[in-house]
Formats: sequence, C-alpha cells, structure tokens
Amino acid sequence: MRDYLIRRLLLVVPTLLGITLITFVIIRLAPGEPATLGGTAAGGEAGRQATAASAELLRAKKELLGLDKPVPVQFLIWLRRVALLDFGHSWSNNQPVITVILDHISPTLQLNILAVAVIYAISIPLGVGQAVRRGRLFDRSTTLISFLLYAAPVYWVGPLLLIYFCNPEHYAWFPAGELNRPFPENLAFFPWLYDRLVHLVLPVVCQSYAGLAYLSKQTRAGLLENLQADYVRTARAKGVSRFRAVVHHALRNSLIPIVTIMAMILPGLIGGSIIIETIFSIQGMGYLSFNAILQRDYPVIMATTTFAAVLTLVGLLLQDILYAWLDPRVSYA
Amino acid sequence: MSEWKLRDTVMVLFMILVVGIMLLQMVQNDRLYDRVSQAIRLLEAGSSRATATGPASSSVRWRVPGAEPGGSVIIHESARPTNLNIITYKDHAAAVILSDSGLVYETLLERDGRTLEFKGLLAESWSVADDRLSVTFRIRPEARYSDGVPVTAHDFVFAYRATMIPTMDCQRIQTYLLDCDGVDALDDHTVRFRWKKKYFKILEVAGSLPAVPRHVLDPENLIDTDPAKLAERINAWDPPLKSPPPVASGPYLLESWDKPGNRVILARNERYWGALPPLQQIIFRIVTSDTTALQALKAGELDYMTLTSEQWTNQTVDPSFLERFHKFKYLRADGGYSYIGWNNRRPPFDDRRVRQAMSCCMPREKIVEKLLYNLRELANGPFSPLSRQANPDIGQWPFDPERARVLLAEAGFRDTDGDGILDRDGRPFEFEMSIPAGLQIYTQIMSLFQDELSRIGVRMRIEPYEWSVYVDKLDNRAFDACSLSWIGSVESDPYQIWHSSSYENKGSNHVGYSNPEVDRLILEVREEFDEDRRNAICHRIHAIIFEDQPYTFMLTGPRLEAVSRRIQNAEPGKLGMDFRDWWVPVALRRPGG
Repeated sequence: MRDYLIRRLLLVVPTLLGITLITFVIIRLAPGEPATLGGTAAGGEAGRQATAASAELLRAKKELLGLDKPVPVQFLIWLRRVALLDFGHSWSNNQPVITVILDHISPTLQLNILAVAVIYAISIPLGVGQAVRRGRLFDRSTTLISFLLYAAPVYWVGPLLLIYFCNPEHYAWFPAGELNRPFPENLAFFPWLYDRLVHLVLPVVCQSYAGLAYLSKQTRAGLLENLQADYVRTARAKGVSRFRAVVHHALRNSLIPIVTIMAMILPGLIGGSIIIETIFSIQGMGYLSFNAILQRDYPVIMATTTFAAVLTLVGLLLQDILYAWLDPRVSYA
Repeated sequence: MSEWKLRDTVMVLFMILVVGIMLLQMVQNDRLYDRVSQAIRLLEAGSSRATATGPASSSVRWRVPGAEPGGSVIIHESARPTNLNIITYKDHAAAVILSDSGLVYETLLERDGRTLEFKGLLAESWSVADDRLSVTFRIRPEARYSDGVPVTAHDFVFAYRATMIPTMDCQRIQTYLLDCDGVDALDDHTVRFRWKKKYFKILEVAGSLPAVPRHVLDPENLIDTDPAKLAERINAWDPPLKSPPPVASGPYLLESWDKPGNRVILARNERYWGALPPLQQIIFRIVTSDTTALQALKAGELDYMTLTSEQWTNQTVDPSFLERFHKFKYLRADGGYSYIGWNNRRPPFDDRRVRQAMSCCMPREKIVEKLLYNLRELANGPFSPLSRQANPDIGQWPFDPERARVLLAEAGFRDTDGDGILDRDGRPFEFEMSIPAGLQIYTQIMSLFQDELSRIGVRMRIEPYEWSVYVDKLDNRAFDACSLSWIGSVESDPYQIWHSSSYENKGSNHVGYSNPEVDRLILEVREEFDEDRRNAICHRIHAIIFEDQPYTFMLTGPRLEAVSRRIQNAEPGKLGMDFRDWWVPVALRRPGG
C-alpha cells in the first residue's frame, strides 16, 4: 500500500505538468485577445467606446504583461512562479490571483457543500425506499419524478423559482438572489445565520435537484444487487428483522460506490455553476472563471484550472484509498 | 477492524456538529471584528453614522433645500466593477460609482444636466488661451479632500504625470491625453493644460481629469524618483475593505465594498467642502440577472434600476407596481447608437451603391415594432439626436427593396445563372454577418434582415462570435459586416470613428471608411472653437456620411428606468439621474438604513 501511494504521488507531478501545459497552449491558441489590451471592458451591451489609435500604448501594455515574449518562454516564467506558489496578478484588476480567488470561493463552497449534503440526505433514503419497494407505485413514481427533474434545465427552473417564490405578486417566501439582505452587518448572529440560510434555499434547490436522480439511481441499483445476495437471505433466514437486514447488511455493502463518488465531488466543490450564480446574482467561482475566460485574463484562468486539476488528482487518489479501506477485496499490494 | 456500531455513527455526527459550530463561531468572530474595525475607521475618517443626525457645525450648506437629510437608497448595477481605483478602473460600473456623477472623485468641470453647458465643480473659473493651445483653470480655494488637505493645482499635475507613466494600467485616460503637451501648476490654485495642437475638446478632456490626492498616493515623491515603482503601486491599489475610506474630494466616500455581498456602499463625506447632498448612504447593489433584479425591485430590495423593453412593456404595468414606482422613458444626450458596419475596404462593400442597397433592405421599423415593443428610435447618423451636432435636415434612410435591386444592378450584380442569387464576375453575392454571441436580440434582428436580403437575391450567413474574438476580428479588420453599438458622448469628436487615419493601429474606424472631404472637415472640426461654426461643419459631415452609408445606422434608445416612489426629487436630466439630488422622507425610510 505504501509503495503504491508513493508511486501515485510521484505520478502526480508529470500529470499536473501536462495538464497545465495543455491548458496554457489551448488558451493561447484560442482566438481573441485579452480585454485589457482592447482598452474596453467586455460588456453585455456590446457597446464600445471610441478610442484613439496608438501603437505605442499597445506595445507598452503588451510588454507590461509579458506578452511580447514567445509562448514557451511565457510558460516557463509562469511555471517558475507557480513553483514558488505565486500565481501572479489578475489582469482585470491587478490584484493577486490568490486574493481574487479567495474573494469568490466562499459563496461557492457554502452553496456546494449544502447542495451535496442535501443530495446525499435525500437520495440515499430515497434509493433505499425505491429498492425495497421495487416495481411498486412508490418506486415508479419517484423514479419518474427524479428523472423529470434531471431533465429540467436549471436556466429554466431557476427563473421560474424566482418568479413564483420571490415575488409579492405570487409568493414572496424567499429573497430574490444574493446571499444577504441589505446591511447584514447590522444583524445579530442568529438572525444573520437565518438570513443567510433563507437566501441559500433557492440556489441550493437549483444546485441539487438534478443530482438526486443520479445518486438515488446508484443507491437503488447497488442495493438491489445486494438484496438478492445469499448473505441477506441467510440473515433473514436466521431471524434478522427486515429493517436490520436492509440497513445493516445490504446497505453497508452497497454504499461503497456512493462513498467513493464523494471523492470525485471534491473538484466540483470549488467549481461554481455560472448559470446558477448568474441567476441568483452570487459572485462565486463560476462567475470568476467564466469572466476570466471572456476577458482572456490568463493568470486567473491558469490558476483556477490548476486548482481544479490538483483537486481532481487528490480526489482520484482519495477514491483509491477509500476503496481499499472499505472493500477488503481490493488491495494495491 | 472492529464492527461499526451505532455509537460510532453518533460519535461522527457529534464531531461534525462540533466542527460546524466552531466554523460558525469563527464566522461570528470575523463579523464582530469587521464591525469594530469599521466603526474605528469611520471614526478616524470623520464620516460616521455616529453623526448621522448631521454635521456638528451649524454653518452647513445643503444642496437640496427643504430635503430631510439622512436615509439611504439602493441602486442596481448589472455588472461588478473590476476594481474601484480611480486611475485604473475600466468599466461602466466603476465609472458610475466613482466619478461619472461626481460622487466620490471630482473633476474640474461638470456638465449641467439640463442645459448641457459646462459648469465649474472644482474650478471656479477657466479660460482658453488666445492661441487655443492651452486652458487655464482657477481651482476653488475652499475645495478640500476628506482629510482636510486642500485640493491644489499640484494634484492635477500629479494626476496627469501619473496617468502618462507608460506602465500605468490606464489606457482609458491615456488615449484622450495623447495630444496633451503638459500640465503646469502656475500657483497652488491655478493649473494650465497645454495641447500640442488645437483641439476643440480641450476643455472637456482637461476638465474631466479627476483630482487625486497626491499627498496620499505618493508621499515619497516617487513620481520624480521612480515612476515605474509608483505605477506598480497604483496599479495594485484597490481600496481595501478594512482600512479607512480612500481620501477623495467628493460628497461621498467609499465606505465599503462588500465583495461577497455584491454591494458597494458610499457614505456621505461629512467634511465635504461644498453643499452637502441629502442622502446619508448610496448603496450600489450588483445583480447580474435582469429577472432577479426586477424581483428584488418589486420586493423592495432595490430602489432604482434600468428596465429591459420586455420588462417595461409586460412586467411593470400592473397598478400595484405603478403605485410603488415611477417609470421614466427618456433620451440621454450621451446615448449611443447601434449600427451595421460594412467593411468599406472589402468588395462588394467598397462600392457605395452596394452599401446603400443594404440599408434599403434593413426593415428597421418592423424590428422596432416586432422585437422591441416600439421602444427604440431610428438612428440616422453618427451624432445623438439630442445633440446640436446632428443635422436636423436629414431624414431616415428608407426601407425600399426595389431601390436596392436597382442599386445592385447599377453596381453590376445580376442573376446570370438563374439560381436566385445575384452574382458578379461569376461570384455569387454572399457574405458573412458577424455578431456578438449570446445576445438574442442581434440574432433576431439579423434573421429579419436575412429574409429581406434573400428576397432580392443576396445570401447572408449569420456568424456569432464570442466577445473577445469578435473584438479581435474588428481590430484586425477580418470581417465582411459587423453589428455593434457605440457608446456616445454629449459632444463627439468624429475623428476616432470616421477619419481615415483611425483605420491604422487598431483605431476605431474598423470599417475603413475613407472620404477625403470628410477627413478634411474632421480636422476642421477639431480646430474650430466656435460652437455654431463647428456644428455647421458637423452637419456637413453628417450629410456626407449619410450619403456614403459606411454603416447602416440602426437604433438609438431611450433609457427605460424604474424608481421607487419613496425617493423624492428623482427626475432624469439629459445626462440621467443625479443621485446627489435625491432624498427619502424620514417616514419612508427602511428600518435600519
């Protein structure tokens, strides 16, 4: 096991190098130039301000950003800085990339952690229920509903939720967008917490409803397989109650794939959803990376992809370790 | 490994609970810390809600007589500013918050919202030299920054020299100052801007340079010793959240920028040198989606927003809405226009008759009626219809497909092979219309245009491009036709868009328009200081450009806005709303704000 871990960890280095190199090349090959060179911000209105032509200003700017050097040299410079954990400065506002990411990561984490918790809390019992009542009305109707939800696009569901549940003309149950009401700093702790949670309800619903179908399906399939296994029948035969047979014997064995899926979720936790964040006006990682791509803010794009790559690799590693730990049949010796 | 028991599950849940509580405890500690440090820095800055009842001194002048001072409003912004650095900001949101309406930073001059004439803001008087090459401003001696230091001529010299450091990230200002020869402080309160050549906008350009506090930004005099280091420092400066508000001369100070909460809060500068505006706080709230913003407005979480045509027509018409909100529809003097740009240097659009024919096929009335709820007006040239630069004798280009047919025949296009597509020299008339991706209205407009063109035998492909790719295509002149809009200004200088030399070096004349007569007139405009004579030349430029149709001028729009009825004195001028005039009666204020 230890040798295996060392081997895996050593493999991380070239993998990471490859990922960053490919990302770097793809960004540079993509057409379009950084917004900061255009002098005008990329805008939704597609309006531009007339500017005077000046080759000199452009050249000075390129030199400042290091864009005058050949691409391979730029990559090496970037790599050297990253090795020292310096991701450079965002081109759109000149702040250190780390600061920019820290500004945006907190809303995304809150949203995603809650959404994952909701998905697991609902879909595992749901999947168990479906497996136990296999083929009955409950199973069929919930499966149908969860697949309908799975198919409903979030850019449609999100505005619908907003229009019906944040609107004095219908039901003003939830606030429209964002994570706080105005002046959150004037609130005491518990009202503040309540305010934050109420604001998170609709975004979390949007973020989680599609995941329900997938995970409950996984639980249902895994459990069904185990329910028919000999050891469950044996347990029932020796007088174990049905509940205990399902929950203590069958479910434990069928949860292995579910637990390992969790490791895969790790990189997803920091990658926000641009659609949900736009609808609910939350400025998280999705907003940040999407805008960075639109504006060709290379340092920010490189930093977010590198973080995602690192977390994916860590997630895969965790998954392997969890497998071996949970399932005695698996060993990497 | 021992058996996993219920006890273990309880244990794990308990640990998760403990960790959760600890995290929340940390959050609460942070909030407390923020509150305390905010109170401290507000006290230090002398702008504080502790004195919200009004400044201690009784000799205060109020900007709006009869208004009840205090209260706050929440204004919608649809995009988050990239930063709030007065020198390096790049976007519209930052411009509105910081300087467009003189809230935080002030300029020498501002335009009157009704007459559009210049009036002094920091300047008490000004004069253009007889040789028209320089302008001298006398700065108000009473003008002070929020830390009590007077605003002097040296601050403008510093602002000019700092923005012209090559490594300073402020192309936005640099591009206007390319022809500036230098700025001198004649004495502490007199500043002179010198230009290399005569330029009619000298007053406007010089008058819109913001006063930045040199004593704060550059106490070590780096501007003389190490400008590159100064540029590096200013580039990286973003008004931080946990320090006193940045020193500025305006009636409001940047109290805080709540980044996760999407709010920028301006608080009244109680030590403002001029007449104090009524509102205690102006809050800009960034809501990225139009739908969400309208819901927030209806829920009372926003006071002011710009509406889309659809929202204006369908979603804001019921009596309960109108009871609570005013709706305003008005043209702004600095409103821009949208257009189709034809690549004037690429066949077949290098032929004026072809461009005219294209304009004849653009069903603009139909577009306004079918797609835009009759809420747009047609544009007919490069100047805003409100501006005196626009030639009042010029009508609208007609929608006339028959005439288009004739014009194209004159240009040599015939359907020789009978396939329904016009051709010339064996090549069919086919071109690509580039549009910015993601904006549905462009696609809809172009589909209508495509139908009209196919009827006269022209095939148009519609190609959406992502914004930065699109800008790149324009800059490299790699397109047949494009669709875009220009942001306007009260008095525009046609040089950047229409002079043939602006085609080079990625200038704004991306269609490559070139007419020697217009070139000559443009240079005349730039040197003409008499407004009537200048406007007469502009009228001629307007007429020639209208005849040449380098663009098909599309639409110009009124602004559509909704304002809460809580707010008094909210009447848009020709330049939009002036938040400094707004006030909210005590009885209608939000609890806690």
